[in-house]
Amino acid sequence: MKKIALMILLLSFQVVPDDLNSDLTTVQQDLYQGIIQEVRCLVCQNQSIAESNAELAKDLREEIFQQVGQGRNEAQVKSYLQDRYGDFVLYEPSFKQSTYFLWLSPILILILLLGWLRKIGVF
Amino acid sequence: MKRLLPIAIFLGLFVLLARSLFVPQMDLPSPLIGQQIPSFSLNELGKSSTVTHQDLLGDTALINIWATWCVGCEIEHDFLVELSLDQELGIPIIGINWKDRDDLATRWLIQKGNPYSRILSDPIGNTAIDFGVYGAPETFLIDDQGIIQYKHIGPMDRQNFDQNILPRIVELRK
Amino acid sequence: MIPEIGQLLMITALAAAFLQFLIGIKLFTLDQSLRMILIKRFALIQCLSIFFAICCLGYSFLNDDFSVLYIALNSNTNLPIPYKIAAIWGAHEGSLLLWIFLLSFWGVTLVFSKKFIDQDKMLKIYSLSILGLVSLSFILFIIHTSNPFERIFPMPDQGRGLNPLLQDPALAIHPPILYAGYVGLAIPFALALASLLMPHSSSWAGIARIWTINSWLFLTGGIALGSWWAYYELGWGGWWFWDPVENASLMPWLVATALVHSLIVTEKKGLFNSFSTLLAIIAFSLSLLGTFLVRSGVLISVHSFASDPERGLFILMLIGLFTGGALILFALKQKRSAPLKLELFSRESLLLLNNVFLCSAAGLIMIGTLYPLVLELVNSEKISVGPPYFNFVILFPCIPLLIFVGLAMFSTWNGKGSKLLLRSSRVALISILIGLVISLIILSYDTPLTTVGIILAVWTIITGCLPLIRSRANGLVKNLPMTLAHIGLGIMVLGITVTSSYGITFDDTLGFGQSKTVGEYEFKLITINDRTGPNYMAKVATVEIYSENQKIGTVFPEKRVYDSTSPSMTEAGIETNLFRDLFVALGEDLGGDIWSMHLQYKPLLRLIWLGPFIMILGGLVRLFLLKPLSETVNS
Repeated sequence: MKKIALMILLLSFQVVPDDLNSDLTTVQQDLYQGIIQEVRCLVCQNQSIAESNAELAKDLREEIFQQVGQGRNEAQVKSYLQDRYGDFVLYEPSFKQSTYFLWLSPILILILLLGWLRKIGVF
Repeated sequence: MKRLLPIAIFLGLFVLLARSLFVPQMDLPSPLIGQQIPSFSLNELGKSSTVTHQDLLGDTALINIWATWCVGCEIEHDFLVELSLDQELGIPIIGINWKDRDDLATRWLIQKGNPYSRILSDPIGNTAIDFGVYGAPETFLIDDQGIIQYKHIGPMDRQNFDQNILPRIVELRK
Repeated sequence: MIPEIGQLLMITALAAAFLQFLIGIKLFTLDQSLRMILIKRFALIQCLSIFFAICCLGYSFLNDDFSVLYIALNSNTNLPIPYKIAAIWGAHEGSLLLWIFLLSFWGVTLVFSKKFIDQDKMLKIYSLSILGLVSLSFILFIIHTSNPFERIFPMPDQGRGLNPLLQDPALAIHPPILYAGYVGLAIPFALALASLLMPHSSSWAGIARIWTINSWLFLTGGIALGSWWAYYELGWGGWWFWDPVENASLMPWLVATALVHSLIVTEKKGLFNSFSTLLAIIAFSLSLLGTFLVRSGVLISVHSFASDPERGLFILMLIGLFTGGALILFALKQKRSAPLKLELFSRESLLLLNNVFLCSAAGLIMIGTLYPLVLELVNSEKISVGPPYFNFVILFPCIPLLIFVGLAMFSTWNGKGSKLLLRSSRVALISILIGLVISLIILSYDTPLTTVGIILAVWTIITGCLPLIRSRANGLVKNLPMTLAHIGLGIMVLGITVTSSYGITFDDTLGFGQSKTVGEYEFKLITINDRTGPNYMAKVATVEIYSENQKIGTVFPEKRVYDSTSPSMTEAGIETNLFRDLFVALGEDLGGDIWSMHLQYKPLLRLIWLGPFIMILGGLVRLFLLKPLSETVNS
C-alpha cells in the first residue's frame, strides 16, 4: 500500500517531458518545417510564416503544427489554407490555366534558345 | 527580324511596369465569396451564451472583425456606429472581437459606442482563420442564407460603403 | 550651412556631367585632343563633387544635424558612430547618392587606366559621354525627387534612428559593394554603345571585359555578403529566398558572367561581337531594372525602400531612355556579321551554349519575379511565386550548364566534337564515381537530385583544375583565374546540395536545463539572462552543444528589442566550422523559464560562401596578376 502511494506520489511529481511538442515524429517535424517555409505571411513584406514574427504567422504556424500532428499531409494542409486565403498564401503557384506559361517556361525557353542556336549554325 | 526582337520584348516589359505603377495593388481576393460562412461556435461578449453560425442566418447582415489593438478599427468605428443607427437601412452589424480580451473590448465599446447587434469573442483566432482574416478590420456582407457576398479589407468609410456594399444590399433585398 | 554646400556640390556635379555628355555630341567643332582633355576633367570634377557632397552628408550625420530630413529619419543620438556613417546609404535618397558616386568613380578609374588611354579617341569620347548622360540623369533624379539634403522645419530634438536590421557590420558594407557591382556595368554598357557608333571593330571587348570583371567581382561579393548576412541575422537559418530584390541582383550577375565569357571570344577571335554588345546592354538594363523594382513599390519585398510611384516613374523613364535607346541603336547600327561557322563542341560553341544557359536562368528568374504582376494586371488574380517554384525551375538551365562548363574545359578553339567527348569521358567517369561514393557511402542516399548535384559539383571542381594540371609552369598563372572561378562554382554547388538535402531543422520548447537532440548533436539550454546594449535591451540565452556527450561549444542567441515601434530582432547563436553549422535561435518566452527555440544542423553550409570567395579570388588574379588577354592570343 505504502509502495503504491509512494509511486503515485513520485509520478505526480514527474517532470514535464523534455519538450512540450514531442508529439511530432521526426518525419512530421520535417513535414512541418517544409510546409511553413512555403506558406506566405500575409501581413509581412514577403516572408514565409517560418521567418515571420507577426501574430498571424504564429497563429498559422500553430494551426499547421496541430494539423501535422493529427496526421494530415502536405496537400491537405495546403488546401486548408488555400480554401481560406486563396492562392496567394502559398509560395508555390498552383498549376492551372493562368499559370501554364509560368510552369512551362523552363522547357519553352530552352527549346527556343536551342532552336535559335541551331538556326545560326552552331549545330 | 533578329534585331527587333529585343526591342519588342523590352516594350512589352516597359508597358507592364508602367501600368503596374499606376494601377493600385489589389486587395487579396477572398476565396470564400459565394460560399456560406464557416461553421463556428463562439461565446457572446460579456454573456455566457454561445453563438453558432446558424444563429446568423435569416437576415442580410454585416460581419465586422475588429479588435481594441487595431488602429484601423478605431478609424472606422464612428462610421459603423452611424451605420447602426440608420433605421431606414436597418442592417445588423455583427462584431467578432479578434484576439482580444473581453474586459478591454467591453470598455472600448462603452467609451466609443456600440454599433453591433451581437458581439462574438474569438480570443484564440481560429474562427478568424476560417474566415480568411489576415488583418483587422475586415467586413463581410452576408445574405439571408449566410452566403458571403462581399468582403471589404481595411477601415470602412461612407464612400466605400456606398460604392460597394449598399448596391449589393439593395440587390439582395429585392 | 554644410547641407547647403552639399546641395551646391550636387549642382556642380550635375553641370560637370552635363558638360561631359555634351562633349560627345558633335555640337561644337572642337579638336579631338581638346575634347579628350575636357571630358576627362569633367569626369573628375563630377566625381570629386559627389564625393565631397557625401562628406557633407556624413559630417551632418556625425553632428546629429536633425534639421536635415534624411538624417532625422535615419539616425539618432544613440546610434553608434560607424552606423551613423552607414546610415548615409541606409535609405533611398542617400543610397542614390552612393549610386552616382560609384558611377562617377568607375568613370574616373576608366579615365586613368592605361588600357583605356590606349584606345581609339572616338571610342573614349563616346563612352565617357554616354557615362556622362547616365550620371546626368541620375543626378537630376536625385535633385528632383530624392534630395538627401532637404531640410525639415522645425528641427526635431531626436531622430527616428536607423532600422535595427541595418545596424550590423556586414549589412553596413553590403550596399556599397553591391552598388559598385550594379553601377560598374554601366562601363561595358557605355563601351558597347560607343563601339556601335564607330566603324566596325571589336577593340572595345578587351577593355569592356576588364570592367565587366570589376563589376562582376563586386556583384559576387555583394550577393554573397547579403546571403551570409540573411543567414546569421534573420533568425531562421535561411540564406536565399528568391525575394524580388534578391532576384534583381542575381539576374545581372548571371548576364555579367555570360558577358565576360562572350567578351573573351570577341577579344580573342573577333566573334560574337553582336552578342557581346547585346549582353552588355542587357546587363546594365537589369541593373536599372533592379533599381526600379526596389524603389517603385511595384513588387512586395523585404528589401524595398519606401515606395513612391513618382520615383518609380522617373526611373522607368530612365530605363526607357537608356535601354530603349540602346536597343534602338543596336538594331540600327549593329553590323551584320558573317554567319557563324562553328564546330560542334569547339570552345567557341560551348561558350555560346553556356551563355544560353546562363541567360535562360536569368530569363526564368525574370518570368517568375514578374509573373504575379502580369497576372494581377491581366487577370485580376493574386498569386505568389516563391522558393518552391524557383528552386525547381532553376535546375533546368543549371544542370546542363554545369555539365557543359566541365566539358568546355576539354575543348579547344575550333576543335572537333568527337575528340572532346573522348577526352572527357575518363574524367566524367571518375567524377561520377567520386560523386557516388560521397553521396551514397560517406553521406547517405537522399534523393536522386542530391546525388546528381554532388556528382556535378565534383565534376566542376575536377575539370576546373585540369587546365592547371595540364599546363606547364608559365601557363600556371594564366589558367588560375578560370580554375579558381570554376572551383569556386563547384564548391558552392556542393554546399548548396549537401545543406539542402542533409540539413535538419527542429522547432521545440526547452526549459532551463533541458536539452534536445537534433541529428548527432545535443542542444542544452542552460539559462537566459538580461543584457543592455547601446541602443537595445536583450535576453541572452546560454546554450551548450554536445556531440557524443562531449561539449563542443557554447552559443549565446539573443532576442533584442530596440524600441517600442520596431519588432524584436533575433541574433542567432551559431557554432560553426567548415564542415557544419549548428544554428540556434530564440523563439518566444512561454513563461516558467520555458522558451521556444529554433535548432538547426546544416552540413557544409559555409561552402555556399566559400565558393563565391574563391570565385572572387579568381577574378582578382585575372585583374592584377596577368597581362591583357589580347597579348596572349592564339595560345
